[in-house]
Amino acid sequence: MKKLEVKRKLMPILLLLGIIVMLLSLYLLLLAIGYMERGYVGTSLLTLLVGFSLLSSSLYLLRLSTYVYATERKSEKE
Amino acid sequence: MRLELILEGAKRVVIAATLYTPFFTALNSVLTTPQLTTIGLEGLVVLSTNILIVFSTVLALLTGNIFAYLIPVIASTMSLGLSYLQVTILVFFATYLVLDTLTMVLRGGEVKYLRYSIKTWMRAILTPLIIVIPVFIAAYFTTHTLVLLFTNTTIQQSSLNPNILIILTSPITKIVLVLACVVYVYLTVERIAEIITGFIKPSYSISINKLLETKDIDVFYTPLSNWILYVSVAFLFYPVIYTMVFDILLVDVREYIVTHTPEVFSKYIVPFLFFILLVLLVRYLHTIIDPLEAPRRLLYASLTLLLLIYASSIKLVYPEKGWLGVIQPGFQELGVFLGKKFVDYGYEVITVLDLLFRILGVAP
Repeated sequence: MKKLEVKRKLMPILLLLGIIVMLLSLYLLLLAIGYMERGYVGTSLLTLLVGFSLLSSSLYLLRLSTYVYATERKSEKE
Repeated sequence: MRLELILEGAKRVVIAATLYTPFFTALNSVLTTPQLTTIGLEGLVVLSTNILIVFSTVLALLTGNIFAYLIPVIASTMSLGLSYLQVTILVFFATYLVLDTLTMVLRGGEVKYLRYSIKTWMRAILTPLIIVIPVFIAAYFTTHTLVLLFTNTTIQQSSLNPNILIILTSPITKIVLVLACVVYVYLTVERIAEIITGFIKPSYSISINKLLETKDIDVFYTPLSNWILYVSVAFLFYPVIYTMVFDILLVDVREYIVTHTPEVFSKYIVPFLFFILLVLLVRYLHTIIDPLEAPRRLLYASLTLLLLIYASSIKLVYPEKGWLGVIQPGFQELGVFLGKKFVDYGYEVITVLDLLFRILGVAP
């Protein structure tokens, strides 16, 4: 029973984490534009790389959360 | 019943709004064509396309069939000679898809009242949009970036090295950049669409399959576009290794190739093939792909590189010292020799890439 309870909280955690990481990545991408404007080319490129990596990881987290959501719904119905 | 009639009417209005201009253009050109014997093959193709547009527009207006609607949409974009996707047509097409789904949900007059929850209505509206939107965004992004790159890029010619100027102003660079951007945007948008679909219509079996599939779930850190990494690493090592192999160790082979084959082959094709080989080698050594095999491969690679350096430094001092070079290899001379060659070959590779794309007809 305890195991089930933990499972049910997994989806919101994943969703929240995914959204936080996505916001962070968007912030970093905006920062990269600002750095490029001020002429810090190297910093800007590094920020871009970090931002894109975070974006892909957030998409991965959100994808996982959809899978977890679907499986949880099924187990709730039964 | 009444709602269905309204929807069917709305579909006809959308069709008429989309195909108004193509229909009348086609009709006009059909009516004003001269005799069939005087027009050539091209004229015949144009004439038949126009007749097709006219007929299928009428058919689409009468029946509201999706295929009868699609044919004039595609044919008109080709026959009007437009090289871009028309935004209005795309928007109308998306609207038509939504309306078509709604009428299919209503199931043409079989039952008097069919009650659906708001969730089902939302699904019926959102599902075609999710299919259309990624394509729409990718198409928009492509045209937008292409227009930006080909019209607005101005590079100050005086402040740059001429070699770099060639690279920056080359159309190939622009095409590659745009392609990379479009592929990345499309992949991202597709992922987002997948996530939205997963939340709108959760499917138990698909998600269980995905969760059980370890290959899809266990992801190592993979940076963007590994191939760019491979090419740049290979680009770094290329001049050194090429010089050691072809200018020092296999100098006789190179002489043979230069004297017995056309100039293009020895000057461009051999270095290019060597470069491709190096890129593939770097990919083979990439540690993330196969974490268990990686240390052994890296050991072999570094030993081979060391052996190559040792052998070439012996060969370089062989005319002076003879076999004494085995004990006193000329590392200093090798360094000087490599430094001279370093700049030339990098430039040559880029020239070859440019030439290759020009030959293939990718770039103007």
